[in-house]
Amino acid sequence: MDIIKTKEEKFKRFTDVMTGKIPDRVPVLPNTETWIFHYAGISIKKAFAEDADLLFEAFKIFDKDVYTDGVLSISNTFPLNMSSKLGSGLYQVSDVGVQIHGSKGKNIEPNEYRELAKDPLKYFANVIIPKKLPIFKNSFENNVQTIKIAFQDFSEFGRYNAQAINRIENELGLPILVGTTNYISPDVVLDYLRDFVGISTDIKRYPEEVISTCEALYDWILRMFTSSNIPRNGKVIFSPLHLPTYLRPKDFEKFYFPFMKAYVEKVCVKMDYPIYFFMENDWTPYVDIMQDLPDTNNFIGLFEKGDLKFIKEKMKNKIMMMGGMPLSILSMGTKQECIDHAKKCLDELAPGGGYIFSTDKVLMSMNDARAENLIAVCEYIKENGKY
Amino acid sequence: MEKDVYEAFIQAGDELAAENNVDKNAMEGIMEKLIYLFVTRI
Repeated sequence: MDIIKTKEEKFKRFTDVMTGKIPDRVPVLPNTETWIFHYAGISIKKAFAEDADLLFEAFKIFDKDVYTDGVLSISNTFPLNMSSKLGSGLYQVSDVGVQIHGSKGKNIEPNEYRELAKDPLKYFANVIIPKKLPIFKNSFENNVQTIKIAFQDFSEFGRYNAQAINRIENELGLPILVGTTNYISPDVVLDYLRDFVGISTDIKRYPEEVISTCEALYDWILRMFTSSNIPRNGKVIFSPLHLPTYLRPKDFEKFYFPFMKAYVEKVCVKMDYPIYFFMENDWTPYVDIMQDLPDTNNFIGLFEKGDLKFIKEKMKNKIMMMGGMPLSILSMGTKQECIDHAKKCLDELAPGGGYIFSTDKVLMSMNDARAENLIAVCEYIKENGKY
Repeated sequence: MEKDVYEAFIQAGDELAAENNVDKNAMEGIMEKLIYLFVTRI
């Protein structure tokens, strides 16, 4: 079959879901991330930083055995060559995966919120970057050279990934769904400024400072985003939502939801870009608050936990549903147990459209799913998910 | 007084714009994103 036609047919299943149409069948999109490289027996370090052809080979081996209608991303998200020259960053890659340094997400103290909120751009440049990357405690001339080298490395990182994506899409007919990544500002505070303990305490002790900082960051990030030339190619803008389910609903309503709602209204409704939120943990306690989101099909959420049938019904016309297949069953269950659960996903979540079959969590290592189980459920949905 | 890191980004952007024959304002926007990425991507 013609590869380009295959790619277009697969991609259309997603665009149908995200334009309120019922596709020919339920799209199959397991969140396979770095599991692909383990399955293919290819070093993640080499695939991410040394040879783009190896990255392609991993997807080729995966695609030969596992049916999917696309993959979310090629998983090479962090510019590792650039960061290794700048010093030890937050992320480290090895042959088996990308790890986060647990202590590197805290870059400011609570007494810095006010100054940061006055001018996030200059605070990031002049205070946080030299603190995080000591290479910038250097002469002006050396800093200029460091930045120029980093720019070249980042450009090369973009070309490296573009080469792999182009081959995966046009030689395998496998669409890569995520076009770009963006963050909701409270998650920037959590992930990169104050870390988990910090923001949890700050919400109680410095609520106004947290909110004013999130507002300043939101405005800055959105201005950068809207001034970028993001292609209108139907690919989704991905945002992992990390903080919400660690908040009590009343704190979610105050500290997070205003930014989430404003983001959906601006990017998804006014600018008409499709967005994909990775909605970690159980969102059931927040569905009443989220009724205040605008009606749109252009917004898909991967829900990790909870009664997805209930959430889908409650969030009808606001969030398209993705997920349903637990890694716990894929990794520990029998093939029949996996197929039985995939059938349950179809029975409960597919009726009426607005559903993409996926795993509840990201598959990072080989142990996250038995290959025969993943192959079986993807094949089952392909054969039985017709509308 | 030594110029700060933000000014180093602006200077680097100006030099890269001249070396690559691209618009200076566009490069300034790219430098702004690079500042953001230095904190959120590495």
